[in-house]
Amino acid sequence: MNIIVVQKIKRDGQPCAKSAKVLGDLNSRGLLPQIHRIVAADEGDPDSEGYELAAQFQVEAAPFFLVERDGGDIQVYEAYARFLKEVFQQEPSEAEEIAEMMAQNPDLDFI
Amino acid sequence: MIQLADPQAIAIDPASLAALEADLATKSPQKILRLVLKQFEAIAISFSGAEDVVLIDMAAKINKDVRVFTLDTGRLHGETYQFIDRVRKHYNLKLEMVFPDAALVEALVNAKGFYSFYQDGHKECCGIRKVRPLRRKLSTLDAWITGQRQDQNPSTRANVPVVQLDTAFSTEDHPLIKFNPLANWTSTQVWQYIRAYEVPYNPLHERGFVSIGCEPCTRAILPHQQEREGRWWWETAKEKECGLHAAINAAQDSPAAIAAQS
Ligand code: SF4
Repeated sequence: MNIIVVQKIKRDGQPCAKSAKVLGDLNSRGLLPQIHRIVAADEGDPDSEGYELAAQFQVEAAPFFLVERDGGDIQVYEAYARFLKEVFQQEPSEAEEIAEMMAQNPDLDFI
Repeated sequence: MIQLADPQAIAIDPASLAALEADLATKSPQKILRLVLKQFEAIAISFSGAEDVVLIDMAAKINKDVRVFTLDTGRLHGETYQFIDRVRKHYNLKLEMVFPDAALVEALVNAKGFYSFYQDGHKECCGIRKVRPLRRKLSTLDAWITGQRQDQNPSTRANVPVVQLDTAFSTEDHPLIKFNPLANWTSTQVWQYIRAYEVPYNPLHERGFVSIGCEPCTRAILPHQQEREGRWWWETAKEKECGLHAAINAAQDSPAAIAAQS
């Protein structure tokens, strides 16, 4: 299994907030060594590999995850909690679960 | 397992819900409420302290013991707290107040202060003060009733049905049904009802507040502005921070991509 994480690098050279948060969480879970490559979608360079992958897989927000399984199939994960569960069999924290619910249901906050 | 007063009456598989939607969509909110309040035992109205008060007025005429809950984020306007109390007394409700987990609010405020949403975006705070407590409350119900309407936000509510399986809060072993009896009503109809039946309303509406949320995150809007424009107005740039969309187009138009296509 080959795992790529695509993070967004802003013009100031820093990762976007969500990319920073997710990579920090992967680090604290001890999962970073199992990530094969971390690829940048560099805001200053639309030709950077991360943007090309985003265009190829039609992903609109960072971070996202590409998992190549042994048969060669590539699965795209846009939701971090699902990625954690399915690829690493780890339970996301309640905060991650709620963040994902809110991302999938953009109207949940409108109460 | 959902407890129905009449288990034959409402089936919750997708096909049955679609048929029920087709049937209910042409009915008045009062008829919808009459049906659903009779069918479900663990059902409650969610009251936000705004125009959804009309649901309470309608439901109280059907069943004076109707269950109503309100989420107190701790950040509502003073006017909203007073209004909630007025509604409680007016309808003699046993209003069920739902609060966020104090330890989580304490940790957030201690780490980031009272206004973290202006820097970090609203989702972290809304997650703690709204979504988590709402999820806790809804896990005790089989169905809930909201004041959501299609005309509130064309991008997120244009297709709000009268009845739906609540996919956000349902779990594998606990399906939750959501009823939106006002889905097909317009704001004008809601206000005609409020005036006709002298329903108490939040005085903030007189100051241009259309939707009413937390005090630091809600502002008055102009006629014809969408309701969501009155919330989190500072966030447009921040929300785009993690977006890849603009550059996807740029990448597709880049010399490398054009060369690859030709
Ligand atoms: S609306 Fe504002 S104050 Fe209320 S929960 Fe959301 S971010 Fe916090």
